[in-house]
Amino acid sequence: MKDLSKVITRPIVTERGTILREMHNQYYFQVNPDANKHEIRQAIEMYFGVKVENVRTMNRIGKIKRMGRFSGRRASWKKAIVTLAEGDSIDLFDNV
Amino acid sequence: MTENKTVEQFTFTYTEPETWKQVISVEVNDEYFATEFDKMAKEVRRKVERPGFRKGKVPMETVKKDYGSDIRMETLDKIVPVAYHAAVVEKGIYPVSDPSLDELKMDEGEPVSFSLSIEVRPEVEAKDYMELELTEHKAEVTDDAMDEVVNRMLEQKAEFNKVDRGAKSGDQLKVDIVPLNDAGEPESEKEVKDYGFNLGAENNFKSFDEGLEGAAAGDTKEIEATYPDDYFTPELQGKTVSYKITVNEVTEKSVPELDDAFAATVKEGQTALELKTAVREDLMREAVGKARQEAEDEVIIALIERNKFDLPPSMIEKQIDSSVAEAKQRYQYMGQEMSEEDEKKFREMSRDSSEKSLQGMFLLESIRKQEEIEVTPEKLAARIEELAEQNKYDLEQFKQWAETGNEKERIAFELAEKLAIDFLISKAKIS
Repeated sequence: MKDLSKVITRPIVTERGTILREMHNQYYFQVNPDANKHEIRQAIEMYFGVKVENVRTMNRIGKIKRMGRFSGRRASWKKAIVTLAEGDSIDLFDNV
Repeated sequence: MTENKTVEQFTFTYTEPETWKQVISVEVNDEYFATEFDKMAKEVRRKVERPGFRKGKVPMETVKKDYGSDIRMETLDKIVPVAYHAAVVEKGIYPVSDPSLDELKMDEGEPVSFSLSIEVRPEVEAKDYMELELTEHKAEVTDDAMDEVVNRMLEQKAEFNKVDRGAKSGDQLKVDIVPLNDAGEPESEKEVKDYGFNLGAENNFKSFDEGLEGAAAGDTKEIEATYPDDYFTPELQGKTVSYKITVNEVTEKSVPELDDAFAATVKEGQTALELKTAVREDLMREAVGKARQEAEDEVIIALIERNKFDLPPSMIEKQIDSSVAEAKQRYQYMGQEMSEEDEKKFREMSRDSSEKSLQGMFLLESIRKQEEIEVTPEKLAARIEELAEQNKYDLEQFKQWAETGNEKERIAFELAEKLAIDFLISKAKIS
């Protein structure tokens, strides 16, 4: 996974995310499941011009959904919690 | 006239472009607006739903960002009535219309400001109202007028007696009338039976009068009638129609003589002389009322002539509205409905008189204040008694009725105007 432009899918804005942001300067993102922590760090630093302290990730397995006799699965995805250095911030979340 | 004054949250500037118009320019204090804005935002936040958040838990900044302009408008909606009320109380304005909002400025980072224009009661001070030049209005009843009324009473009691002779002018005939079609055959579905036809009456067809003169019971005549071009049934205008008329009965009209016996049928125990006097008194009362009304109108017109001023348009419209409503009611009593066109015409017609009566009201009020003409409870009680007597009401019942609703205020108001007019007439130059 070399193409950094494909790493970050979207920022996630939720109640919990907002609390984390306000208390610990941490930001939620949905990222490409193939991206690793290094790539995520590089991508965030490059696109938002901030210093990243820490990256934690988790894989979310897509839920199984049924439509009558057909059953399928929603796409699996990866969530990243990015902690920024003190004083840095990402505007994107205020504007969503 | 411009003056500045601040009531806590607002800065008001008053201007008076017309005697009947006030414009209040309002500048809203920034801090006040901000607190009101926050209050409103909190309310909005409670209702906002957004994925990722529980209802009402969306961060305040997000709410303000998303709904900021809506919240500002709502805040303004809340503030405008407050400002309006404060200004009206502060300046002591009597609005007669709802305010209209203009010149709204709500740019971000600048104080919010707007102006309210309202129509107000004009401040009227009547001047130069002594020695109005009036003509004399005398109440008179002529003998002719009295005789006419008495004759009408006699006519109403006239009897019709069956006679066995040819009809002559003044008789009433009972006739069956049937129109004939072009082939000369009767159209029996259009037949009118036993119609009371007054020979020689004013609006009769001449041919009918001539044709039926001398006819006796049992006679049948064929008579042609030509309808005038402006006849009220459009199908018959200008047409000539033949009618077959069968006379069933000839009756002679006998009008009673004016004597004591007749007078007694009108009111028990009354003599002919008393009847005449009563009629004269009635007519006199009418004439006095009319003369008074004319005198009052003249006073008002003379007053307005010397004190010209403008009225707020909405006030005039309201006055016209109420006279239209009255007229509509009168129409209803007669079982008719006022068409839109009639209403339009009526509005235009009553504009001038409505304006005059309002102007008169203001001027009389000002004169009452200046001359300290007041309606005391004693005067009001006396007036109520007078009204009861004039209209032949039972005094106690009328008193009770006067207590209902705002009848008493209405009577007091009319009395006040009457007293003012009496005063003006007493000081006027009458020629």
